[in-house]
Amino acid sequence: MRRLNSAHVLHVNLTKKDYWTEEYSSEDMQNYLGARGLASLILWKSTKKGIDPLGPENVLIFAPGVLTGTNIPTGGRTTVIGKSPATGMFMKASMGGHWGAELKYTGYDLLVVHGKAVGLTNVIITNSDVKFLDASDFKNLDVIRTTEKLSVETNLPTLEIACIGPSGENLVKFAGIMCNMYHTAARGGLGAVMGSKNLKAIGVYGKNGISLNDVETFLKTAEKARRSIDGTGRCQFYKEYGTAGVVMGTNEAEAFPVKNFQLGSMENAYDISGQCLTEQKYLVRRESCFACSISCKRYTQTKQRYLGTKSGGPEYETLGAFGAGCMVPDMDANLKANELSNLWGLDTISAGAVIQWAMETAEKGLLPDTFQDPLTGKKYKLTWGNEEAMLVLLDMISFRRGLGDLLADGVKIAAEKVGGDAWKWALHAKGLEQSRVETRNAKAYALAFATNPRGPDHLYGQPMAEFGFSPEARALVKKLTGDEKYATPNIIEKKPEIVVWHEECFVMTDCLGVCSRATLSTYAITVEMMADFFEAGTGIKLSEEEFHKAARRVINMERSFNIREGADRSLDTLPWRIMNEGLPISTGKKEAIVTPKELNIMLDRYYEIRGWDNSGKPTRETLNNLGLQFIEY
Amino acid sequence: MKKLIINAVAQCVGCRQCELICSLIKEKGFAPWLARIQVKRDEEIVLAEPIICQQCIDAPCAAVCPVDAIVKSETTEVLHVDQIECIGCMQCVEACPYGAMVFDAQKGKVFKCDMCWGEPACISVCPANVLGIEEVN
Repeated sequence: MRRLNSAHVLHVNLTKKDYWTEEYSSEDMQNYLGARGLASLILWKSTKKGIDPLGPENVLIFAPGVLTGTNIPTGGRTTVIGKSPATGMFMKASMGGHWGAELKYTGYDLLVVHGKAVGLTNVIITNSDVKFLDASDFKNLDVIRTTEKLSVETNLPTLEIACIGPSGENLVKFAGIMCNMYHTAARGGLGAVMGSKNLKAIGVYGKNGISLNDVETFLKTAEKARRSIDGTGRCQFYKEYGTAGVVMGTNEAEAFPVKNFQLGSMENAYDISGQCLTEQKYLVRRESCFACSISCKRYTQTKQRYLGTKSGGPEYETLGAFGAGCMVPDMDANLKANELSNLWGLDTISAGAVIQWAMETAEKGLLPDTFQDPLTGKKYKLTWGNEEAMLVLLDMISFRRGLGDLLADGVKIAAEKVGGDAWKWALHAKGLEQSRVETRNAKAYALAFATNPRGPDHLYGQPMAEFGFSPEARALVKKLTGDEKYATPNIIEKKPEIVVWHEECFVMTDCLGVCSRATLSTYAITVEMMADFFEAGTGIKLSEEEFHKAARRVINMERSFNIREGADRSLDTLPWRIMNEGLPISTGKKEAIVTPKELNIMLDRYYEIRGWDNSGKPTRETLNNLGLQFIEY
Repeated sequence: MKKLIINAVAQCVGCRQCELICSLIKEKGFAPWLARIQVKRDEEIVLAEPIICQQCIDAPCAAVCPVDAIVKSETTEVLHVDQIECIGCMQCVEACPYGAMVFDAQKGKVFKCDMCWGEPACISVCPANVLGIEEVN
C-alpha cells in the first residue's frame, strides 16, 4: 500500500522506447493540488513556445485525480493535458471509466508521454515494467476491437485500456481518447496528439494499493458526500435520465442550440431527450464510472432502424450536436451517430458542429449541395436533416475521405478554406467548436466560455449557479455576490465573481478526480468536503482560502501557457453568431444576444479580480504572489 | 444464519464501491483485487455483476480443503478461511462454482467473504441497493 502525500510521475519516451520516474513532493502537492495542477506545470516545463501540437515535441499527460482509486464518491476521473492541434493552445480533456484508478494502482499518479514511436505502438504499464508492443496490426481498428484485441493479446484479466480510434490515427483535430470503450476525453483533439505519437493504446494493470492518511475522517466525509448526492434532486435526475435529461428543460428555456445556433428550441425535442431514452426503452441499463454513486452513464440500443446499434451514451451534448444541431430529431439515427463516434473515437460536440456548419454552408451556396463518398461513389444531399449525410460524414471525417478531409480540421480551418462569409457561422473561438450551450441568454456562461483557455465550452468553469435552479445554487450566488438576485442568467452584474469561483472549484474537482456532475452541476459535493477529503487522503492540510489559492495558481499556469503562445484579450471572445446575431425567442421577450460591450465590461472586471492586465496577461505581481516567479513569456 | 445476498443483480452499475470498502476494511487500503466481493464487468455490453460467497450448506470449498481451513464460525455460522491453517493450494478456488474464492499471491493464502462477522460493510455503500442480507436455515 502506498500513501498519497507525494506524486509519482512516470515519463515514457516513445522515440527511445524508454521510461523514467520523477517525484513531486508534498509541498508541490500543496501548491498545485496534484493531478491536473501538476500536469499543467509539467506541460509548461516540458514544452517550448510554438511547438507543433502534432510533432514529437508535444507531450500528452494523463492525470487521474489525487484521490482516484479511493472510494471518494464520483472519484474515477482522469484529466488529459497537452497542446491542442485544434487551438494551438492549452488543452485539458477529462474521462471517466476505470482507467485512471488502475493507473494509480500501478504506483504512478501521472503519466507523461513524450516523443513519437517509429510505428504504431501499444504501451502496457504494470507495477514493475513498461512494455512497448508493436501495434501495426491494430491500424484503423475501432475502439471496441482495439480494446478487445489488446486484452486478449496481453492476457491480463483486468487490464484497463485507453486508446484512439481511426480518427486519432488520421489526425482528425477533434479526435478524442477513449477509455473502457465508451468514456471519452473528447475535446481539443488530444486523440490526434496520441495518433501523432503513433500511440494506439495504453493498457494499465496495477496491484499496488492505496492507503489513507486518516481513514475515519475520509469515511465520514464519503458518507456525507454519498448522502448529499442521494438527497440532491439534480443528482437523482441525472441518475434517472442521464445528462440527456437536460434536453427538455433546456428546450423549454429556449436555450437549446438548434440548426447551428440559429434557433433556441425545436418542436420535437422529446424525441432526442433522456426522458425518451428511458421511457421509450432505448435504455438498456445504467452504468457508473469508478466509485460513482450517481450513475449517469447509459448503455442504449436502437429500436426500429439501424438495428443492432448499441453503445455507451448518448450524452446531452451528443444529442444536441447531432439531433438538434443537424436537425435530425430521431432517436435511432442519433444512437447510430453516437455509436459511430464512439467506434471511431470522435468528439461528438465538434463532429456535430462541423457537419451542421457544412449543411449551412451548402444552404448558403459556399459548398456544393451534394457530395460524394469516394469509397462507395454514392452521392448525398448536404441539407438540413439529412441523416444519411450526417452518418456517412462521420465515417468520411474519421478516415479523411472527400469532404470529410475538409471537415476533419474543424470549422475554423474549413471556413478559412471555403472563404466568403463561411466564418460567420463557424461556431468556434480559439479554434474549438462551442459546446451545445446557448450563451446568448446566460451571461456567466458567456464570460466563462470566452475566458476558457481551451475555447468556448462548459468544462473549465461551469457557472450553473447563475440559473438559481436550486437552494444550493442560490445560496452560493448570495455567498459570492452578497445577494441571490444575481442568480439571473440574463444580467451581466456580478457574473465575473461567479465565474472566478466556478473555475477554481473546477480545478479542485479535476485535481481530486471527482466529477463536475457532483460538484458544479449539482453542488452536492462542496469545497469544504473536497478540502476534508484532500487532507484525510493525503495528510496535506489546506484551508478553504489556501485551496482556492492553489486553484488560482493552476489557472494562472494554464493562462500563462496560452500567453506564451501569443494569446491575448482578442482571443477571449465568443463565436461571431453569438455576439452578432440575436437568438429569436418567444413573442414578448427580448431577443437574446451577448454584445461586445457586455463582454468587455465582464472581461474588465474578470481580469481585475484575477490580477491580469488589460490585455489579459497575468501581471508580474500576480505571478509572484502565487509563487510563479519562474514564468517568463 | 445470516447470508449476504444479491437482491437485484440487474441494478448493479459497476461502480465497485463494494470492492473498495471491503478492501479498505480487510486490507487497510484500497486494493479492489483483494476485496472479498468482486465485481465482474463486461465492458462491451456494460454489464456488471457482483460475485459473492453463497455460504453453501454443503460447501464444495470446505469439502476439498486438505487442511480443513474453511470452517464455520460457532457464533455466526459464517464460513470463513482460517488464515493460519490455509496452505494456499487453491483447490477451493477451483471447487467454488461461483468464483467467490480469491487467492492473494503476495500472502500465498486464499480469502473469501466472512460477512464482516454479521454486518457486511458493502451493503450500505451500494448506490443501487443491489446487496442485502437474508436469514437462512
